[in-house]
Amino acid sequence: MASPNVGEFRFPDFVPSLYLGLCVDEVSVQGFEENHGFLANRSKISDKPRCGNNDLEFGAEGTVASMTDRLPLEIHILIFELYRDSCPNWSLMMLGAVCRTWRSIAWSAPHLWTTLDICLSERPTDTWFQLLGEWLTRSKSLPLTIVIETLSFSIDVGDFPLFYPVIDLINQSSHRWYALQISAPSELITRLSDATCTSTSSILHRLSITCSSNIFDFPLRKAMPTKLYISGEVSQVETVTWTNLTRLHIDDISVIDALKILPLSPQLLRCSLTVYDNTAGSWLVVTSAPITHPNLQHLKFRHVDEFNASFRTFFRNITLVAIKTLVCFGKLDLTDDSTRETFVSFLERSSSHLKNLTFHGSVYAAGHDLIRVAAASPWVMRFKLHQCQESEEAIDLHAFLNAFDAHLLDHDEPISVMSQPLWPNLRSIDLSVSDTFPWELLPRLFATLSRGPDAQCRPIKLLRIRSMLPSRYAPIYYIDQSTVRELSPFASNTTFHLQIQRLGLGSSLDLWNRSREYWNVEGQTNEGP
Amino acid sequence: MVILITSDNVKYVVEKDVAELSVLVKNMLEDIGPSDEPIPLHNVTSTVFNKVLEYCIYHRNDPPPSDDDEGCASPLHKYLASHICSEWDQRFFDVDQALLFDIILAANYLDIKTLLDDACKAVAHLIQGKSTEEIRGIFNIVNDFTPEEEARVKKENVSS
Repeated sequence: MASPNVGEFRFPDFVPSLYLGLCVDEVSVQGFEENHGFLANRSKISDKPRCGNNDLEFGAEGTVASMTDRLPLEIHILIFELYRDSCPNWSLMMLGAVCRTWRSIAWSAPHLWTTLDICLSERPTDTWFQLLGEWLTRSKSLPLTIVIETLSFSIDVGDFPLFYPVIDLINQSSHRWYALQISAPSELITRLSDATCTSTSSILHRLSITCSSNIFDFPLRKAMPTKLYISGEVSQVETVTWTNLTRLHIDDISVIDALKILPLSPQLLRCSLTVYDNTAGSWLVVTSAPITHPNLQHLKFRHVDEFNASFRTFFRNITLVAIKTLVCFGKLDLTDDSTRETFVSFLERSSSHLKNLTFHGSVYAAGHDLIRVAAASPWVMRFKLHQCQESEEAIDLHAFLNAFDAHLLDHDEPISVMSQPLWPNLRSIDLSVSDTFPWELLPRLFATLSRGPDAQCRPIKLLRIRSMLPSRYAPIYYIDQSTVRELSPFASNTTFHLQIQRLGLGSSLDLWNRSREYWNVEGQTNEGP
Repeated sequence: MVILITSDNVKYVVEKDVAELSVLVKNMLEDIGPSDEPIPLHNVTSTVFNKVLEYCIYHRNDPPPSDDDEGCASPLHKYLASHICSEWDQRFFDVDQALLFDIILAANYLDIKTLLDDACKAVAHLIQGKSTEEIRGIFNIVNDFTPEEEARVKKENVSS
């Protein structure tokens, strides 16, 4: 490559603010163009790009010129940007080691330097520390995405102070933090400071903190992120500014703290909480009036205590008037009257917009428990129940499925009759159960919503059922013939994913198509091969 | 249909939706209005345009590229976006370096963002995992650092 006329080579900033006209910063390049004809000419190439088959061109000294000389500056920068995004972060330094031109282009494009990935594993050297400073300087005033990770097994507690200067240097650019992700011991996390910004100047959008120990004092006071992810426990939730949050994920929080932060984050739209019980028999929270959150639309709630105390405390004390999607993880016993009625009461207060309801984990419920839940959430369109394989007790789904046409029964029927159809807007039902499924009751889902010749059915588009067989040697069966015939007319509008899986084996069998094919053959019986 | 003429006077009759993947051509069509006038492409030869056309025909039904999240997409999003995923694209860009750079210049001139991005990804891919010596070799770049500068550069790369 022909040497550009870039003048004296000076470290660390031998490139003046040259190409910034091409970048985000609006800095004049006029002075540079006057002094650096080579690069000015390259910019002209950009205006009138050449394109042809003159593959090899010769430089002034008779050497073969590089292909890259033909590219306009902005394309050089685009290539560097794509290279940066596909390689380990610090490999960007490699570009500056190829030649002067590449170095000048890379060093002068601030947006190339806006992502910083720091792994703290050994004592930082002076040169490394200097490079870190230069990196931040090169990004000019652009927003920064910073990732800080520690290999905690390689750092002794006594070595933490060695990394304080790194954190302190990062702190100097806190007014430019756009996204900050830190995975470190609390001693380093609490060293973070957003002192260089004010509460109105902070642009921090996404904050992610992973800490294996308790964070006693949340370090950022002025930052008001819109997305916050915490993996670890924050002791004093009041020290966090929750005001702007629209997304929140916390892996470890007491139920009382969870109930504290929701009123503090009124703009919250999506929330994922893993909650443990710290009420210890206290009825302090329980006796207060339920908190109403006006905006929360998506909640993933995972409780980790054995007896559902945190589940009951949370749902007894919260009303979510905008909730659209509710996902409950964990061991949940809906056969317990207190747990079920607390949840039903929550649904009755909150379900006017609830469209998606999911249970994941060890769910214990009798059919009438699920009927209570369904009756309290009439607008649900998508229901998912995924029972974990280790569940000790099967859910009796007979009563639940029977309830889907109970509104059509006469009042003199011996079984319970419902005045309103269950989940009349149901579009998809996705069940994964740990025992034999009552396939013969599936047609009940397609019962009409009222009596009469023109009555509509539920608008079910997806029926996904996976039933686990109790052992890897359990015999394979078919859905009975009359059920297949009853369901077949709906197959044009509904996708049937009906599967069985043997315990311990990964793949599942397509029961629906097996059964359809089986019963289309005359003379077969329901005993199976 | 749209008539396009390359710099070496080869005439192409191209379907309008394919031609309009080029913002340059699209703007020219809007400027001249309904007309059978051929559109000259001064900076593109037929050899290169054949490749450009092949790309545009293959990608004619792709959804338009979306902008990043306020310019600050997540590192994973950037990583995925920086890779050529399609096998067809990988084969398409498996050409000699001169043609690859010609495609980049043509995409830049014709203002076809996806082709420009994908071709630049192909060049970035050439650099990935390579040492500075290898990069110089690939692109025929002369190391023009002084010995002092070279020493500093090496020190930087060892430290990072």
